[in-house]
Amino acid sequence: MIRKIYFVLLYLLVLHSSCRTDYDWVAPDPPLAEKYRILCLFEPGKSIIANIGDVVDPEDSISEKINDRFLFSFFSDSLYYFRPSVSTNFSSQFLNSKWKESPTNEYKLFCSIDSNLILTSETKLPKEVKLDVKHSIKPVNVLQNKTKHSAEIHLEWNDPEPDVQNYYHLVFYKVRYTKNKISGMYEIDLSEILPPLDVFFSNSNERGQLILQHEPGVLVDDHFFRNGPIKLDYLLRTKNTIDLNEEKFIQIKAEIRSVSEDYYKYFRAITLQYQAQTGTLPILESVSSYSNIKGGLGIFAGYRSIAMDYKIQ
Amino acid sequence: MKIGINFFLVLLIDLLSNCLNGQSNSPLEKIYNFKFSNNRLDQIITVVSKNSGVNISFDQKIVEQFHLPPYNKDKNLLQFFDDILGQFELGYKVITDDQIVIYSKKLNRLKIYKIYGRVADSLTKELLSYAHIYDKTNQTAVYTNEYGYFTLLSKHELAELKISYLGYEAKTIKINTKTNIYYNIYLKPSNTLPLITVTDKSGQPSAMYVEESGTVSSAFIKRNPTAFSDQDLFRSISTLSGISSGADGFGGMNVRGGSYDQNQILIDDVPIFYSSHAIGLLSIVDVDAIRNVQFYKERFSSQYGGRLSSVTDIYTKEGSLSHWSGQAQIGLLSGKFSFNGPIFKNKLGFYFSTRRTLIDPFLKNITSFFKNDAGKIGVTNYYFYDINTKINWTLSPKTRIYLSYYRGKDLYNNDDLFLTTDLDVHSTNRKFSKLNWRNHLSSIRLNTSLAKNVFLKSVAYRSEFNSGFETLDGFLLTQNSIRIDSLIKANSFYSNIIDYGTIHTIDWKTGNSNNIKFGISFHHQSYKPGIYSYNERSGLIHDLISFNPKPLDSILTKNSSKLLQQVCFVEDEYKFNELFQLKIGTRFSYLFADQTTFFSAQPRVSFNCNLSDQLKFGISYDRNEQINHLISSNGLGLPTDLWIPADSGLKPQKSNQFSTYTSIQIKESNFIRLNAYLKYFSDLVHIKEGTRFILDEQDFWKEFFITGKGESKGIELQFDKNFRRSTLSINYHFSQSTRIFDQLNDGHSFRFKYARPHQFKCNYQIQISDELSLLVGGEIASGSPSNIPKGKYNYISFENGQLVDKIFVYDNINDFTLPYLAHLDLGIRYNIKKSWGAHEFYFGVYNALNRRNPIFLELKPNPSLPDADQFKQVNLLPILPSISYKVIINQFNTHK
Repeated sequence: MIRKIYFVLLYLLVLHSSCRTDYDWVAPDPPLAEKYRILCLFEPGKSIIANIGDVVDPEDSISEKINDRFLFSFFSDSLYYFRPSVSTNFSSQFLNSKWKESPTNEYKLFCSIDSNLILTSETKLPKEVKLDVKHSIKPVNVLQNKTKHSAEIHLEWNDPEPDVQNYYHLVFYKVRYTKNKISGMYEIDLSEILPPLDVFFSNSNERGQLILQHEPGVLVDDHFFRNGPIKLDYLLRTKNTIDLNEEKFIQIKAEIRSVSEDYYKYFRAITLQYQAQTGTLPILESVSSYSNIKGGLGIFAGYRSIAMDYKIQ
Repeated sequence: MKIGINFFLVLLIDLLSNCLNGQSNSPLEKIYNFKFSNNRLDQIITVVSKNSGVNISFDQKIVEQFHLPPYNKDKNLLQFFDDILGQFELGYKVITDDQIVIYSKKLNRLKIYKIYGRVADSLTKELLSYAHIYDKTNQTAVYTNEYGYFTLLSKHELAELKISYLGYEAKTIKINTKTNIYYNIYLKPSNTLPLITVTDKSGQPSAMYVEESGTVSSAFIKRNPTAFSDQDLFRSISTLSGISSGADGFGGMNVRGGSYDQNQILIDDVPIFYSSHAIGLLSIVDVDAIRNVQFYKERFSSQYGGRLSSVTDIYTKEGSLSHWSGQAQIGLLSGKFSFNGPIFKNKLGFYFSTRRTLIDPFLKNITSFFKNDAGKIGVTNYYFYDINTKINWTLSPKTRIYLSYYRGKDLYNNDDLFLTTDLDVHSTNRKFSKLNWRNHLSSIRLNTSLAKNVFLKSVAYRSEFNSGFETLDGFLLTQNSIRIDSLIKANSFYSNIIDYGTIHTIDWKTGNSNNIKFGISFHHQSYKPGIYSYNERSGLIHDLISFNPKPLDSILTKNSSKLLQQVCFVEDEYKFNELFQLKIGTRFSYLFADQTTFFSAQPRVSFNCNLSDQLKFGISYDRNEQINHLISSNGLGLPTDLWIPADSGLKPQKSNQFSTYTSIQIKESNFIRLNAYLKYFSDLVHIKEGTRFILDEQDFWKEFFITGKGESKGIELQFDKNFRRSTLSINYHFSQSTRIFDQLNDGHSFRFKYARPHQFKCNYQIQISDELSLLVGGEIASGSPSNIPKGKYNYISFENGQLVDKIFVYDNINDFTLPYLAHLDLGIRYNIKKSWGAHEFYFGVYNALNRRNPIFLELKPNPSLPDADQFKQVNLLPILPSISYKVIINQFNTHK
């Protein structure tokens, strides 16, 4: 009888102890000054990719409709105006523009909105460096058909600038080998954009590295390697299952991007913020986002990349 | 002849006194006609004493040698003594209206008599710490020390002592100081329930918490309504001004702008690192096991050190040396029982108490029920227990040895397993979290009187704290028993601290006005922090159900650190006169850490001025140093917070505190106290923003911390009023507390997260009848500073242009203020005394207003507007009833 009473009491207590209640949020005074955000990345020789959007109150919904009123410009040694155009490759609206090299390696962003608001930013492209990358790669537990496939990869290179703190963003892609139905041979399928692979740490040596949340790949801070060789070990896995009757997982493309500090800080911040919010991070205090946009929020950063193809042994 | 003269004197004095005195009542004010001719002084005094009705004490051998020349005057008694005694170098002291002592001035200049001994409970023989002893003859007062010992120095051969202690009947004894014996004074527990306090003119303060001595009485603890039908020490102390809790009663105490790791808590001289059960709901030490508590937030004695903001010095019960007794209590959350008694009567005493939750079997059932309802398998469970034991061995009347042992543990775990099957594809989803922490404390202590006014305490102790936190979130997808996909994300925190040392303190009372304390101690601390995180280890997870996140053992040992500290201190408490008292001391610390040494001096000065019995003020300065840092990962004061030792990169944190107080007593039952303080912190440690540190390599994890400073200032106003059958206590605290770190908030200062600018607390208790008492406690305080986003924007992936997530934008740290905190707690206690002990029933309501005090805010998707979010307030404790029943057995029957 006592057990039943206790059970009922606890049941009522659990029902009653609703931990979450509504909160009437009131906009702070003064409100957030930044109203727009820009996400802009560029790589030498390739199109500048940028997206402009609104910054809204935390409870509001966000609309992402590009507006003709934006006048976007990017210049290195001279002012360069262009009207935004929508890239057909993406479902969301992205602005594309040609990249121009700056002799000083410094790049500036200028964006005018409604002829009143001006967003600006400055960034430096990392120096062009040569990396002598050693690697080893092997398949891991390839099972039967229709499963995800994994490969363990080891990358190593000597720090090209031991006295300088460098940052890297590594992205791994699956090179799709599909079976030619006529010849029966497996050939590289060039018709699709390479799908990125999921990355996991394959040992506990994660120092200075962060697997990104919103973009594929992993960020690396070479400071943690203490001027010694940079040694990285990952488990790479296909996002989708592979039907071995149709395709094989035998080659990957590794892209090593040398990124600026702004780039590193921004992508690190948004990943940590996501992990803090979803509770996957053992630190629950809020994480501020990073921004190098004056008058607004977001990121304006460049990177240099080298890509290598590796066959899975 | 002598009789004839005496008779004549008696008659004469009596007749004339009636004629001359009229309406005068006091025998000292009555006018007598004194007429003597060449009589011996001792005879004259005897007759005067007999006829006036005033007891006049004197040393026969000294007085009988004097003869009074002829004398014939009308005087009152005091005038008469003024006239006749001076010529013989005799003096007198008025003790009361009916008592006078005559003494030799010459001898009193040369001789000091020592009165020393112990004060104890008459039933259990437990020593009473900080009992008040007032010497009426010398008009001086002392307190017993923490072990119940006292020393008084008297200029007179005879002394009258009044001994009082809250909860006990006051006792007056007359002693002959010439014999110089050791006094064992026993006080009887008062039949008046401890809620009533009585003002004592002779100096015993009536407040249940005495700021000067720092004594926290059991009456003070029991006056607060409880949260779970169990009285709690730290919840009671939190009702004092200047103290706030982290989050609606959880997360430890924040004293005057300090964080919760800056509180030194000692249990029988053993320092502890985490002092709560149930993340702050209950203290780890049972209130019924406590013998004495001292709490300080300023004017620290130099014997204390190691923390910056407060000291809580707890001594547990020792066990009766005369008879066996016990008590048991059962409540909604937990049950407890204790017993104590003599193993060998008057020689060896034993105390044992234990507590444990009773709720866990039911908690498993109810959580299993709710999880099943949601299609999951698993339970949520929580329990705690603690055991407190002590042996006290009386080697001699002056020497005692104590052996103390404490063991306590909390465990929380939550397991969610979700299994689905779709055709031949099986999905297993599992979420697991486990949190546990343990304290093991042990000590051996020797108390002895080396001489009548010199007291030694030697302690050897060991304190161990372990905590572990593991989380796992994973899924496994199989088809026809073949693994298709799996992912496991897991994190684990581990903290292991072992602290052992030895402390030796000498307490030397050189005079009634002067007390010197000095000592030396050695401490060794070892830290093993471990933080581990992984995403699917290499290799495949075959059995998600049984998988447990475990770190590599090699990682835990890699990050271990050791500290070795030597401390010596000296302190002098000097009473210039009834007006001025000065306490000055310093503490020297020599610390070896990580191949680096730190030396520090921590001076402490306090000056008190008693302008009158009703008006006092004082100023003080304290410097403190703390040789470790607590890194909080959650801001809620959970035991998963990480203790790290000071080293070359992270210096010991320090504080300098200036404080002043004014205390006013209005009439006999009203007390007002105004405190003001200013505190500076330096070498505080914080984790770098957004740091995700993994303790897998020894050298790197310390780079995740940054150092900075802090400042805190405030005023505290306390008002206590004693009514006939009730007491009222109100306090208000206004404070500002900030922190500044170069790498946080762009180097600008920001509000400390536990800083509540305004706090108002009220406590009222009324003794409705001898059995029934009502307790009311309440608090209204400003909301805590918090971080909530000020804006947000969409993040579009550069990889595929898809909308991925929202990015939140924050402004200055702790810019936002949560809603105010308010709660009202009520309690009724019904105590039925029996010949063998008592029954006690308690019924209470915690948070009677059912106010949902916010812990933090979070942003969740708005169910009504798909693209929008909504702030939700997270709160913990709604209105909660509590019931408990206690039975107290004063004395077990023993076989005859």
